[in-house]
Parts: sequence; structure tokens; C-alpha cells
Amino acid sequence: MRGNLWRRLQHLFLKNQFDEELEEEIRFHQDLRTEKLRKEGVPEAKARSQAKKQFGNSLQMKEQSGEVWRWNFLENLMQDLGYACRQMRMNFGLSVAVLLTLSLGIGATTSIFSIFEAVILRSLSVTHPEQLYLLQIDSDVLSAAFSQPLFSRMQKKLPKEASLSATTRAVQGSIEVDGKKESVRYQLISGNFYQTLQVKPVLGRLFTGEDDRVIGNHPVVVLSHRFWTNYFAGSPDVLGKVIIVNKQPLTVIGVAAAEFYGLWTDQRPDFWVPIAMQSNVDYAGNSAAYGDFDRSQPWAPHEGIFWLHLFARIPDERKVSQLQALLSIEHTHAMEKVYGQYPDLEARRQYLSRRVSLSSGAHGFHVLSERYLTPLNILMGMSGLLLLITCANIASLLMGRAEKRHKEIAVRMSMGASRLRLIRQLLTESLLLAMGGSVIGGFIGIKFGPGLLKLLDTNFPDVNLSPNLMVLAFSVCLCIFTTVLFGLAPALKSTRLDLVSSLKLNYSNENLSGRFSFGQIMVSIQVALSIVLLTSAFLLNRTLVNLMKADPGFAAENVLSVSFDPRLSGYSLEQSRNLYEQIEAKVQTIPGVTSTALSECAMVSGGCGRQSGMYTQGFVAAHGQRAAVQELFVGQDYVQTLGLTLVRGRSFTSQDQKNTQPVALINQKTARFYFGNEDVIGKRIGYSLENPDQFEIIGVLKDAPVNNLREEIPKFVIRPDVQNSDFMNSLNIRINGNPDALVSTIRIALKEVAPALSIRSIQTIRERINLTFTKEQSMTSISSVFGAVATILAVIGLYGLLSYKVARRTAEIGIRMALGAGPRSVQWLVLQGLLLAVFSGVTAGIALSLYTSQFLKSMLFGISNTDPLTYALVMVIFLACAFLAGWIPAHRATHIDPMNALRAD
Amino acid sequence: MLSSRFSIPQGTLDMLILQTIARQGRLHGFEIAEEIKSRSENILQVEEGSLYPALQRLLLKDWIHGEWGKTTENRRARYYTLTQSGKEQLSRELNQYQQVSLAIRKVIQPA
Repeated sequence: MRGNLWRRLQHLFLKNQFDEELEEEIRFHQDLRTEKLRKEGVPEAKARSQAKKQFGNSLQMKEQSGEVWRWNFLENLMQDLGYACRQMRMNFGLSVAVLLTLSLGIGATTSIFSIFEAVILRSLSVTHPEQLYLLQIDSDVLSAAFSQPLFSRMQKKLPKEASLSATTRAVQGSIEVDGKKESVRYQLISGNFYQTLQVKPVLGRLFTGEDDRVIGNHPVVVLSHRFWTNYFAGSPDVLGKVIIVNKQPLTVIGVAAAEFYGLWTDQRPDFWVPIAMQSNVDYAGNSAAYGDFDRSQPWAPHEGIFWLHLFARIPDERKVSQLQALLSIEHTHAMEKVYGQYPDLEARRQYLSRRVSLSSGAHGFHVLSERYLTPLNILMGMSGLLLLITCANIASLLMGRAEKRHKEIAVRMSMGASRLRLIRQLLTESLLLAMGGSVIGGFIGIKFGPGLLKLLDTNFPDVNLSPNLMVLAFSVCLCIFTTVLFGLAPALKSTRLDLVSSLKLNYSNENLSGRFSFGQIMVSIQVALSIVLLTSAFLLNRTLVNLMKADPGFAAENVLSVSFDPRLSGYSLEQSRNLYEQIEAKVQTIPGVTSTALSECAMVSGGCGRQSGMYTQGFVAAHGQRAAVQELFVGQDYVQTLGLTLVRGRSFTSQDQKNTQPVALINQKTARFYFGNEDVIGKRIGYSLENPDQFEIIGVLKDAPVNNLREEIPKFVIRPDVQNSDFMNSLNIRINGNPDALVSTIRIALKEVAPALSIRSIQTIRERINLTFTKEQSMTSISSVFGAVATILAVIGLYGLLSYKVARRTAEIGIRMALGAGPRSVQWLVLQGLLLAVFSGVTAGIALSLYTSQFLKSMLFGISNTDPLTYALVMVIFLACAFLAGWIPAHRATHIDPMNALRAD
Repeated sequence: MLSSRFSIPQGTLDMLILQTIARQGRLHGFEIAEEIKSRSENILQVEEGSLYPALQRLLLKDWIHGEWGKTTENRRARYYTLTQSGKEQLSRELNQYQQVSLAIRKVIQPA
């Protein structure tokens, strides 16, 4: 069959040659015949004419020969296309309207799909991404869970064909190149990282196992393609250059392939450093997140610091479960080594019961898809609904036109056109419209995709949204899908006719009793779907309002948080003490500042502080619970500066010093967890079961959502910074009056006392809180636009339906008016048709919303997905719009002149 | 003159062409027409022109292969040969034809 197609195509393209050859063949045949006749004794002139006669009608033969090859399908298609184009030209206005609506629907869907594809569906850009596996602990794939010694042992256990590599998450650092300072982000990786991923350099070479053998002995760095082009202008001279990363000189040995950004989907590191250099480049301040370790020592030799993320390439899929078992055994040994003697029995049980498993690594460490799967799913759903509404809208438009063409179609059918052929012709028209819509919509999608991405999150990492095969295939599917959706029903319906009555009458005999017509069904569908979109928009809007108004439990509006990083700015810990005193003293002199307090980090920045194990004397955690709290070191006036509520005891004072009794303030949740309903003032708490009396509890804070309004309130403990030695990265300033007015004053003051200190941001805590729901904000605005567009489309649909009805029933209305019907009864007659469509649409829409809104649940805040008030509001707004749309044609109907109306037919 | 010539029964032209080419191996259009005529002792009359649409049909179905070559008088002509699938088709058609004609003979046989 394929050969057949191929030969037909050949014929199509070599038509001239084909004709010439056939011509020659026929001429040759006739020549031979003439010669033969002559040899038999026929005279020259007669021989030729007899040869021709014997051959038959050579023109007809040529025709027939050509026809054998011709392609009915293609020829018909060309005919249909020509016809469709003529029809579109004749109905220019309508075609433009259809194209616009359609490209809107398709554009929205395509742009959201292009993001969906890039964020959720796309694999890492490495060879054979499906061979990659991530090592996860239980179901947690995104936490660092492996120590360097464990990693080395696992590597040795693996067979040759599989390879295991390590990476860390990127951290911020500062680099110095040729005297210029710059803030950068980098990841640490094992020497075999690039080999495992099979990434190639664009310049120089990449790390090998040899670049990661001895701790502190490999001062080399590989740049990302982006950093190389942006910072070094893509110059090949960069090889051999020395860059100083957090005071450690490193030599550039190569540049990784373009588009390669490591295994973390949400990070775009500027360069990579071997993990052997961890403490040399002061990775993460060299402060291990777990336990007490000497900050001046590298992490690598420690069994108990879990800082690496591991992944493997396993070319043979059948080996996966076997290797997983192998790795799991190694991991369990390590856990026993570290936690085998752990005094907290519940914590020990939890650590020892952890299991390693391998999960697909084709998409890398998929932080982005984890974060955006729900919003993107919701947006895909919404744009899908919008597209359905546009299709229903277009279907009723086309239906209206098809009815106008009743006569034409009836004539063609009575002349013998087959129904299939006519349907095909009508569908070709729809397809042409859909193709136009897809092309325009595709452009809209490509154009607005990146903007939409930034709307979702202003810090969204660069994602390549340039159209690819996947998006193209999606567009083609959409095109065909929409064609069938809006074109098939009108095509089927308009070719199913009673020929005689159609030819005789000017309008089809649609009954007047409000039976559900095609147009009404389309309108109710539009109404129902736009109710769904409108409800979602309302629910999300009210969520946003609730979030904005929610009480965070502290004076969010009046506190400015200044974020900085003295360590990266080059201060030593001792110098930083001095720095803090100077800047606090300076800021306190600014008029309007009522108090200041330092803290390790700014409040509401995603789990500010550290996770610390905390125990009271003989504490036994219940099954599944962790004796751990979120601990934060703060300045003396922290409680009053942030406006936290002290419910018991006292706050920190100048009496609490480095050498006095260590003290702690705990929140109510912590008090309940460790002490139940006892009075906790004066009670002791400590970092371990062996030493549970370290800190005296001096007060209790009211529970407040210190991390994120949506998150469960944590067990929260604050301790005075004087009793700790660590960098403070935030200054909180309580302000009497408008904080915005003081931002620049504070900035200048800080510049004065500490010119070397680079300031990351100065924001009120309210602004910081608002940053935690940018996702909600963008979802709200997008869904509002969708809801509005959907409503407008539905209202236009309604209006169209009614106008059409009035036009068709002009004669009837005229007769009724001539017989004495008043304007009110005429209006009622017209609106009747609307009522059924609207009410059935609204009812279906509400029912559908109740169902679909459960997918929104995880996005909502302070409102139930079945909130009655929202539903009532949506209904009222929609009915108001609907009757407005109905009133115009109804009003017009009352102005029909009976005489004219009757004369028209 | 009594006409003792018959036009070729519908549907058998393809088979005749295939069979003719199969017997001779390689023929051009004129030769095919002459061959059919002489083989049937001038009873079967191919309307010579109708040979060509039939040849196109066979080409499209890939049962024959056409190739330009030279005649013994050194003139350009398109020669046709049977393809593998053409050979298979021919044996199918012959088989079918024999069965049908046998059946017809049995029916019309005088008791």
C-alpha cells in the first residue's frame, strides 16, 4: 500500500514527464502499425489513417491512462478547500469572529500547555535520561540524605556498568574575578558527575574521578554555559583563569554543554565545584544542618552529616531492583553506625526503619514539578474549559449559518450530492477555521508563555519555552479536536433534512414551544462551563483576600526586615559582633524607629532558623513523633520589635549574657508537646537526652504562623544570640509610622556604618508574607481573566441565540402583535426561550462546580470549596448578565412593525 | 465478411497482458497487442488504445515494470517486464479463471 502511495506521489510530481512518455509510446505504437500495414500493401496515406482508427480514440486513452493515477481524495480536498475559502470570504465578518474566539481559546490552552510541557513533562537534556535513577529515602526524594563515607561505600559496591554520583543543592556565594566581585550560585558535585550524566564540555574538559580524590586538594571549577556566556562573554580565554570563590582560588578547566543545568529543575547554578572542596569554598557556611560539628572542619569524613543527594545511571532496567537492595543494605549499615546507640528510642526507630529506593530520574530532582503540578493542572483544566466554551460558541454560530444555507444544501442534495461528501465539505470549512485559529493561537501561546511563567513566579528559573515537537503535536491535536467539536454537530444536523419542506419554506419548521434546540443546548453548555470558571475565580479571589487579611501573629506592617550576609561580605565572626553593634546603634538614631532586634534570618522566609532536637528529662516521644523544634537565635528586643505576644513569663533582658544561665522562650505548641498542661516557667530543656537541663524556659509565646500562613504552626523556640556564636543575617526594625518612607534612609545609614556589607533586601514583614503567595496571586488573576472571558462568551452566545430567534420569528411576532399582543407578552415570548437554556445551564454549572472545585481545595485558604455565599454570588452575577443580554433582543422584538413583518414573507 | 472477432471479455484483459508478458519476458506495447491477436488466431480483438490505460493500471499496482530501451531497429520503446508480485497475481488469476471456466463448462454441458 505504501508503494502505491509513493508511485501516486511520483506521478503527481512528474506529471509532465508522464504525459510525454505516454504520448511517445502511443506515437510509436501507431508508427509500427502504419509500417506493418504498408508492408501488407496498404498505400502510405491510408495506412496511417487506418492505424489511427485501429488504435481508437487516442485522446480518450490518454485521459483514461492519466485517471488511473489520479487521486480522488486529494482532488476532492482541493475542491473542498476552494469552496471553503469562497464561503469564508462570503461570510467574512463571521469568519473573523470565529477566528478571534478560537485563537483566544487555543492561545490560552497552548501557552499553558507549553509551560506544562517544559515544567512537568520534559526530561533532562542528557543522553538516555530514562536510565537515571534517584536514590530516595522512603518517599522523600528531595532531601539530602547521604554522607560522603556512605556514598563512597555505595560506589564501591555497585557493579561496573552502573555508576553512582552525588550532587548538592546550589548555595549562594561570592566570587572575585580580576578584582570584580559578584554574587553567584554553585553546586558541589562528585568527580564522576558528568560521566554518569554523559554530559559533554563545550570548552576544555569536565571533572573526572581524579578531580575529587583528596579533601581540599582539587582547586578546579567547571562553568555553566550560561555563566560563561553572560560573565565571560563566551571567550575561550577563560580556560586556566583563576576565580576566587569565597576566598578560595579555583582554576577554570571547562564549560559544560549548553542547556545543561545539573539535576535540580529549579536551579540554574553558575558553576560546579568538586565535593572534595566543600570546606575550602565554605559551602553553606560550612555549618552542617544537623547536630553539633566543628565548623572549621570539612564534612566529608563525617558519617553523621547527611548532605549529599545521590543518583545513579543503570543502563539495564532489569538490574534496578537488585541494585536497590544492594544500596539499601549499605544505607541500613550506615544508619546503625550513626543512630544504633541513639538515646531517643523513637527517633532511633525512625532512623533505622528508613529504606533506600530508586525512583525514576529522567526528570531530575523535580522540585519545580512538585511545586507547580497542582497550579498547572488547575490552569490546564481552566483553559480546557475556556476552549470548550469557545467551541460551543462557534458551534452555535456555525449552526446559525448552516441554517441560512439550508436551501443551498437541499438543492445540492436533491441534485445527487452524497451526504458524506457534504459533511466532508462543511468539515473542511471548520478545519480551515480551526487551522487558522491554531496558527494564531499558537503564536499567542508562544508569545505569552514566558510572560505567564513570570506571572506564576517572578523568580521562575529560565525554562526553554521555544516551541518543540510536543507542543506542535498538542496544537495539531487541539486543531482536530476543536474541528470535530464545533464543526461536526452543525455539519451532521444541517445535512439531515427533509428536502421537500426545506425547499418550500423559508425557515425550517422549528416548533415554538421551547423544545430544546441545538442552539439552546450549546448555550446551556456555555453557561454551565462559564459558571464553573466564574466560581473558581471567585473562590481564588476570596482566598487571596483571606491570605492578605490573615493575622500572622505579629506586627507585620510595622516591621522592616533588612537581609544581609556578613560572612559573604567578608566579615569574620568576631568582626561581625562589632558590625551588629554599630548598625543597631546607627539605625536606632533614625527618627521613627522605636526598636530593633537582630535575628539569624528574616521571619517568614520558609522555615527561618534551624531544626534542633530538644529533650526534657526522660522525655519519650510517642510513636511517629519527633522531639525536634524550629530554633532561632535572636536579639534581645526581638519579641517586642516583632510584636509577638508573650502569654507567660518574661522576655530576654540585658541580664541574659554569654556566661549567665542559658535561657529560651518557647511557643504554646512546644510547651504542650513537652509539658502538657504544666506551668513551664523555670523548667529545663536541652539538645539531647543526656543533657536535658541546658536551657531554662523563661516565657511562653502565643502560637503564630511563623513560616507560612498555610503551614501548620511549628514547635518554635527562640534563644538569645549572645548565648550562641553564629552570624546574624537579618535586622528587624519596628517603625512608628509609614515604613516605606524610611527604607531609603535606613539604606543610606547602613551604607555609612558598613560600606562593605551588601544588603539583599529591605522589606516589611507583610511584604515578605505576600511573597509567599505569589502563586495564589497569579492563579487569582489568571482565573479572573478566564472567568470574565467565559462569562462574556456565554453572554454573547445568549444574545446571539435570542437575536436569531427574534429574526426568525419576526412574522409570527408580527401576527401576534397585529392580533393585539402587548409589548410585555412579546418580551415574555422572546425571553421564554432564554429561560430554559439559562436555568438548565446554571443548575448544571453549579453542580459541576461543586464537583470540580474539590481540585482547588489545596489552593484555597479560609474558605470552603462549597462556600454557599460564593455560589449565590456567582449565580446572581450570572443571571444579571444573562438578562441584560436577553433584554436587548426582547426589547427590539416589541418594536417590530406588524405590517412590515407580514410583508416580508 | 462474417465477423469472427470478439472483444475481450471484461476483466480478462489484465490477465491476458500479464500472461503475454510472462511468456515473452520483455515486450513493448505494440508487441503485446500483436501477440494477443496472433495467439488468439485473430479471434480476440484488443482495441489497441485500451491497452495503455490497462498497462498504467498494472504499473500502479506494481505488477509490471516499465523501462525504456531500444528496438532492433534502434528505436526508443518502453519495455514491460513482470515483477514478482505480478507473477503471483498472474498465477492467482489463471487459477481463478480456470476454476470459473471449468464451472461454466460443467453448467452448460449438455446432459
